[in-house]
Amino acid sequence: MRITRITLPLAAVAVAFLFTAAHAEGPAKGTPDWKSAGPIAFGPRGLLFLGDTQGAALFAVETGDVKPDSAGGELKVEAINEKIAAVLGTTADQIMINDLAVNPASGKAYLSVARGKGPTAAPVLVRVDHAGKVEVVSLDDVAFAKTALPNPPSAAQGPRSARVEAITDLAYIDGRVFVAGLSNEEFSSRLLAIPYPFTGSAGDDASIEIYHGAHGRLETKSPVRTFVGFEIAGEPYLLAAYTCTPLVKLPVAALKPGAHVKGETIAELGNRNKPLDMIVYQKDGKSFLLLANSSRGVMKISTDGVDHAKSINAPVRDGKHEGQPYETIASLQGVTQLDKLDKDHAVILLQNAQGQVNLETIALP
Amino acid sequence: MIAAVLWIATAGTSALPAQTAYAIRRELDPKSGRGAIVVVGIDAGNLAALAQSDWNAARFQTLFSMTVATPAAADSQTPSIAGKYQVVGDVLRFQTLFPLRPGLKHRVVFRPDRLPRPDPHAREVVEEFTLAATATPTSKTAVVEVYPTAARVPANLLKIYLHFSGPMSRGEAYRRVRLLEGSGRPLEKPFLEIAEELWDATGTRLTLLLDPGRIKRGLVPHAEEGPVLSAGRSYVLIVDAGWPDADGRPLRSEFRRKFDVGPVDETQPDPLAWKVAAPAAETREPLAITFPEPLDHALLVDAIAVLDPDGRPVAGRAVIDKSERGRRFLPDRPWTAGTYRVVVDTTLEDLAGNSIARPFEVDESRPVGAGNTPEFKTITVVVAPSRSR
Repeated sequence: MRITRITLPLAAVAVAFLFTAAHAEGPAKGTPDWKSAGPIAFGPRGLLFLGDTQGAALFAVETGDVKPDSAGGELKVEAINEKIAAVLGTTADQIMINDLAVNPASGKAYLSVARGKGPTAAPVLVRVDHAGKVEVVSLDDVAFAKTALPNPPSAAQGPRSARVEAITDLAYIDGRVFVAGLSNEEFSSRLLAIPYPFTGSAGDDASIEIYHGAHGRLETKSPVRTFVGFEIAGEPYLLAAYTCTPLVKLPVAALKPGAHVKGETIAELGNRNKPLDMIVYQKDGKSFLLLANSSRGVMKISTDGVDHAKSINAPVRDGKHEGQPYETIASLQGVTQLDKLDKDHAVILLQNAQGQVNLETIALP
Repeated sequence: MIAAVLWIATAGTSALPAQTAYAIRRELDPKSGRGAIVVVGIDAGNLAALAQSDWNAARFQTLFSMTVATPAAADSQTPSIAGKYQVVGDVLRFQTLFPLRPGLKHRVVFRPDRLPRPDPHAREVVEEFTLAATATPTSKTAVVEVYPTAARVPANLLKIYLHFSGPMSRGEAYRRVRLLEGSGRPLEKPFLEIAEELWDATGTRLTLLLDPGRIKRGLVPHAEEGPVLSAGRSYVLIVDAGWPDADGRPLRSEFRRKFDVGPVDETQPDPLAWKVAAPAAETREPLAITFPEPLDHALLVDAIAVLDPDGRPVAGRAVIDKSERGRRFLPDRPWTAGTYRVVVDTTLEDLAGNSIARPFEVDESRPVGAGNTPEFKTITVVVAPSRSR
């Protein structure tokens, strides 16, 4: 008995310690082996999530960039692609700017950049401040955590040799990082929901199959291109744009491991409107979605009544658009990336016909 | 430099820096572009001050900077190349974050008047240099195969795989691949364009998805534009020779593939309908499976495994037959008599994205039971004892 009395608390402590060590992988100092410049997204207090398609991994890096930028002035860099190329000792035609995210804690813009265009292109994190300074953010000896993204096993139980899941978007919502991906082999529609702090490798239990239904009773696995967190009647939702254009809402509460979740269509954007990026904002007491797309510039979509909006069930005819009303912001042509800066402003990357990319701050329309 | 030399002659042994013959030296491997640029001639007092300073990179750049000397940008506006500054022995060393790019003109400037103990009489030292580009820009990368290879594909074809002989560059895929109708008219945006581009890890295989929004019925793109391909017509896929490989060289030649389009395929592949030819024991004959329709080439490679009578994977290699209508498994060692199992991943798809588990589109009035489909299906193959025994 005496032994038991002593052992129990010790064992409990030991178990608790082991659990902590094995399951709650908070940031530790080191250099992340970030292999490719994928999408990026901020969490709270300067925590930055880095997607890595080539390495099939997700990193969480503490940037330490937690104080509001004192530089003043608006975020604006003309020919940012040329400036980044110069800093990296190369030319603008040999870099790719893959994503933009504003750090809500500091108001500085971060860019995920590939130096080079081949499969071994080096990933670089670039920061832009309000003085227009463009600098490389060193990832040497930073506090970070990593989680491997699952690759479904093949019949042979081994890894699939040439399978790559391109990360198309990621966002931190309520303690989980949502990762949308697109496989280069099977037509899948996996959305990963990975709790943070990471608990070892993200297993298949982080995987949720997203479907698109509605029209004419036909249901398809539909890969998500881009998404954003949005609150409807106090409940968290994802507003997601599928690669095949419909805009849907997905209740976060339903996004559970192994769940078969069907997005409810709230708008059909029509052909050639391939969604690239989107943000949510408030104006005059109403919520709007701002969506950059491949052809029509930027669309401002009303979310009025989206809480009780009926799913669009009838097939769309004669190219007529259905669902939430939207307007096209004609002055914003060539927007490739956007993120929210503050409640009234967004930061965008604009590419002109000559290939020059400008980083600009715009008032939310 | 003349001013500096004159100053030495007149100033003699004053308290100011005694040695002002500054020079920039390159310590670079000309092939890899790795290495550093150093400034020699900085006096010991300034070196000590620099070594102990808390200067950040921006502060160092006012003293000693390196830029890419592009003709387009005014030099004063060109940001300095990122790198690390360090006092090493009796030199100030600058190591760039990335290897220098051959063929680009670099400019290095050292400004002695920005030293911790400024040397106001010395002029700035400027050096420009270009690392010789070693590789000759001859083309050697080519398209080696395009899948599917079948002469006829379904009208709802979902994927095309381009295989290259070497790694390719990203960012131009959708400008470099065209689909032409029989009449020669190019189809407008036939592929789902995603900035990430669906490459494999080696950069030698690209997956093109024919716009699923136009394949899937009931959506605006389908209603407005119709499906990308029409049954009964023929098309030509063209890969532009100007597409740069990972080294920036164009392809060896343009690639063309003509194919015909048949009816829409909404039927799922069914392993029960496959023909399996059992090999003979004590031979290394292939275990040959023949499908009634072409299947997805990329998925076929890994989606099927052969397990021995003890349930262990049999070592060997798979060969995909012409038109992706069959798969032969060649064992490394002879078969032994017994019951083998062929395990098939139910994510295996046909050319229209119908998998063994699910059709591309599911009619909800006829549920296929999501979650009920097993991950794998199994076919039993009996290897009979050798007749010679």
